[in-house]
Amino acid sequence: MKNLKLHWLIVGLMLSVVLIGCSSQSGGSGGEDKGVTIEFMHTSVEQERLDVINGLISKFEEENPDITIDPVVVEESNLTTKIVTLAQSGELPEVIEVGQDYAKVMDKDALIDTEAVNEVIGNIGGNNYYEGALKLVRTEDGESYRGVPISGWVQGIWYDKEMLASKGFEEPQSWEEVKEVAKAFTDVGNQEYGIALPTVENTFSEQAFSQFALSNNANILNSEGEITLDTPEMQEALSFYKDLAQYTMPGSNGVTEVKDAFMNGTAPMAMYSTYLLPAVYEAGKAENLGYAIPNEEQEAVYGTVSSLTIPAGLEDKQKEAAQTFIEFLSEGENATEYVLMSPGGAQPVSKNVVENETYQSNEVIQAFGDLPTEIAESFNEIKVFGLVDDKNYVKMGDITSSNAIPLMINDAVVGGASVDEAMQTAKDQLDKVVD
Amino acid sequence: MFKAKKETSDGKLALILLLPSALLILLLIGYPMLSNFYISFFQQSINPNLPSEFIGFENFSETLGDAEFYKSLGITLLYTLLVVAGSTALGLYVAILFNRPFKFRKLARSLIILSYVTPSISLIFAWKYMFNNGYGIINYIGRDILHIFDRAPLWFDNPTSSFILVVLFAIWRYFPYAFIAFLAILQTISPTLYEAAEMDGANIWQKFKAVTLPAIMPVMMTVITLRTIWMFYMFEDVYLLTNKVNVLGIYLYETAFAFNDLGKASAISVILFCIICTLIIVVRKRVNLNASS
Repeated sequence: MKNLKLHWLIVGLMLSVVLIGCSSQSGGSGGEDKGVTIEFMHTSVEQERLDVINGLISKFEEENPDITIDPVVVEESNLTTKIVTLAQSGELPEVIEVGQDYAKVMDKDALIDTEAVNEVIGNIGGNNYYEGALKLVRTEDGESYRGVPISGWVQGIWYDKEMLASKGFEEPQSWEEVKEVAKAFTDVGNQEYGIALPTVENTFSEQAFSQFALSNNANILNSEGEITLDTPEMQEALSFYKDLAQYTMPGSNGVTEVKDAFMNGTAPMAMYSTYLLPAVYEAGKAENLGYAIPNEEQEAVYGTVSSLTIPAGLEDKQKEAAQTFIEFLSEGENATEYVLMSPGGAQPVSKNVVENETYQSNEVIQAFGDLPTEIAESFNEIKVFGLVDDKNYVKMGDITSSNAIPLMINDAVVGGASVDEAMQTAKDQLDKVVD
Repeated sequence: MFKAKKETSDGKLALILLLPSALLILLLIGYPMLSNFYISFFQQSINPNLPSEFIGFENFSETLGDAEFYKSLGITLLYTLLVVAGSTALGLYVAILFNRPFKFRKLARSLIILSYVTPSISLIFAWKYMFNNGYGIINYIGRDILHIFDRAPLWFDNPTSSFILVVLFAIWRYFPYAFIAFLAILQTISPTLYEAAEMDGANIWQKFKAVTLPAIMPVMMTVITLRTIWMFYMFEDVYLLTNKVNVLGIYLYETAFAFNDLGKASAISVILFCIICTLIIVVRKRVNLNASS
């Protein structure tokens, strides 16, 4: 009797294992019945954005009944960790939304099927994109692309027109004018500052500083791809940044501090991305917002592109499905919907969005008048570290990942190190990274 | 004869019932451990399709020759020591206070564990806002109300104040774990033991040393052991609070995900495993767990 019970128990256990196995397989076979299932990894975690993405996926599945899209939603801060672990297990999703910096890291390790991406851009038409946006995703040899641009943002100095006018200032045109305005508005005792400047030890500071450096013709790499951190131009740029930082809030200022300081009137100027625009619109101050670009030897706009990429090593069926899906998302109406998930914040990277009626008639876009067009066109003026004479060095991905530049800025501005000391430390670190 | 047969049958049943758990442990813990050990001998690319280069003990020697590793190790050991000692002592003190009847005892006990059950991310942001350089309440009270300082200190920008704050945060966050464990064991100590000690003329400290401490020792060792392991590998609390306290968890994370050096990161985790194992074995051997008997 006891043995009988034992046998039933064993049979029960085995049955459970088999059933669990079958249940996980049935999901896959369901997908197979419909044709092919691919995963789409993106970072739009907010519910409203998720609704838009899921809506686009449903529309795509209706038009392409043999392709099923399985969305994989990841927090932006976890994206790189997720990519590394999924890549290690050979489980990368077929379509991945990735920024230009991490696309370089993936490209370096041959994780991107650049040919497949190139085909997609060829099918959509390269002329459709702003040249600046394409430059950011072009491979080092200039022959192909690391991702298909879907949206982007640019960064500059945002200023409160009324506040500046109250002290007789207009849009600052040069480094010295920026400093002059910042000085005029700084009253440390009353916690009022002239400019909200990023000083935190992350890429936010690198992006802000890069505009000053590049406007002074200082890049991290030269045309041979060698590190050129210790040039007089770079030293001038860091010295100026440190000097300007005396008119900003004390300590390490990140995204929250900079945005809050500008929005609550603590500072009349802020170095920030276009993601400031939705908050300004909400506050009803759209008409009062001005946009300036750091300028010394030349103007330097910082911008970044969010692109959709296809990992290397996919089977043909999966690759074709991924290409079809990206082409679908890049169509004027769908790309517009994608960009308008954050109107004003996310910027169009292709002309078919800027010219789209839905985009133009969006109330947030309209509220800013000509500014969105000015911003979108500034994509063509984009200058970023590691992009030298249109050559987009792949090693810049490692340089950014190493965090050496933000550490240098934070050391000099917050940590009290001299410009020379901070630059030397960063140079030593970068030499190790690039070696 | 019958008894022996029954025992064999129960043993088999126990084995069968344990098998799924044992397999799961092997799969989820054993395999990753072995795989990690294996990777630590290679120059490993993120892309598994690219060939990995066998480099012997180079990852280990590189790590052990890196001054930054020893700096992180020192910070981590000090952080672990202070947090384990602080959270255990505070947990024990509060448990002794709460081990007596008073009004709203149940409510007070529930409130005391709030810091432990609230998600880390909410607590971390609350602390970051409290100590914010511009609009933090601590600077507001210290500078604008009490006038303790003229210029607000940059709490999370200074390595020393950052370290003190992450230690205080961890003690405050994790002491309820020790509190719950100690309160449970304290309730099992017979009051007659304290009465007998009182009759012998023992004061509060002597009662604690002769009655309480031996009784709670096994639980205390478990609390200390587990907390030591958890704090030694701490990553998210420190990483999210400040960039100025480079504990080993952060050193490891940056090696793996900022520098994408998976082989070296694996070697670091093997070294950490050896350090923590040695530490725990030494501590457990030196402390007599059967003191209560």
